[in-house]
Amino acid sequence: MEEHTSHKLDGKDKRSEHFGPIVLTRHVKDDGRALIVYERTRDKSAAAKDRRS
Amino acid sequence: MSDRSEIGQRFQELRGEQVAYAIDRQERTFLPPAEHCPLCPTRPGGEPTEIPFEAFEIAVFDNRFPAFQAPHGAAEVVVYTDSHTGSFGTLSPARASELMWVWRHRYAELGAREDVAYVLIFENRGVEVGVTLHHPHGQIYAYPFLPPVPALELAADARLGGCAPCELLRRELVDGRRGVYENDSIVVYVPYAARWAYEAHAVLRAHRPSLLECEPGELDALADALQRLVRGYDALFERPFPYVMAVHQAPTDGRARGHVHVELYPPLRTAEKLKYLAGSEQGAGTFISDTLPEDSAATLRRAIADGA
Repeated sequence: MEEHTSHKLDGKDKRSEHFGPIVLTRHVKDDGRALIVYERTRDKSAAAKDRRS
Repeated sequence: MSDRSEIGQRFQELRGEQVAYAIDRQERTFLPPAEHCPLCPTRPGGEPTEIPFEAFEIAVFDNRFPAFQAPHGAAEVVVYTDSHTGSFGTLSPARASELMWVWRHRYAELGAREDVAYVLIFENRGVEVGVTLHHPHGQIYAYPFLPPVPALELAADARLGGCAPCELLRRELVDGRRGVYENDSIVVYVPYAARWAYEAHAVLRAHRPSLLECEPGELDALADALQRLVRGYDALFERPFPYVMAVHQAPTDGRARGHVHVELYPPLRTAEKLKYLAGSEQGAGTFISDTLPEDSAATLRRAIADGA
């Protein structure tokens, strides 16, 4: 199997945006590829409960 | 040695279609064990993965082995959950609805690009359809050209004198024999001329060219219908059911025509037997099916009730 090398973030260009009921945070990997992490905007306890679903 | 300037698309004159070449994909990760899954979160002290966080809800990233990339389209991976196990069908309803919003966001953003003519959101599930990673995920291809299937759908609009999915939905509701599930906003049916034994289409009742025009409640309803369908698939033969799920929306090349519908193509025709694309399907382009859609729909209705 091919080894998966580190896919760290470059530490720049991180910002959050709202889109309907979700919030997205943009990142850039150290190899230049984009990564977007999405979360539903709601209270923290509901987020924690759903995180493992 | 290949000249890399030749990589990209080539037009196949006899078929009248583009063929994309992505030779780096030969090197992509193939069915790694769970402890080496690149789609899992990065655990403290653990192996780095594609997602350098200990937990996340949904993540989208540029495919490391892209079939298309800027300035000639894009290829993205959509990870549904940070849990390695489960499937689209076992996501919580809230997570499945969130995924519909992610699909909508990617369609909006990729579709706005000058180099993108069509956005296809899809999921391949099961090794039978070529899955190389078991972690629940889908993909997005943003094509720099209009592919043949959406082009044929536009041709169907012209042939039927309006929106083809609207007309086909009307016919299915009148006929009634092939419906498998309905809610307030979505109708799921085995199409009149299904090519696969358990092919199913989930269609918006209202005319919506893309997910961007959908009401929030319609996105929730779409998630509900798709989850019920795939859980029904799993209940059908009491095994994880392989499928290709393709979200069809309006092209993004300036044409405003289209109607959101999701097509599912499962390759199983029995619990153990696969439908192969062989002589007639590949050599002539004509599917030969050994199952009538009306019979499949009756079976699928029972399975959806069992899987609910």
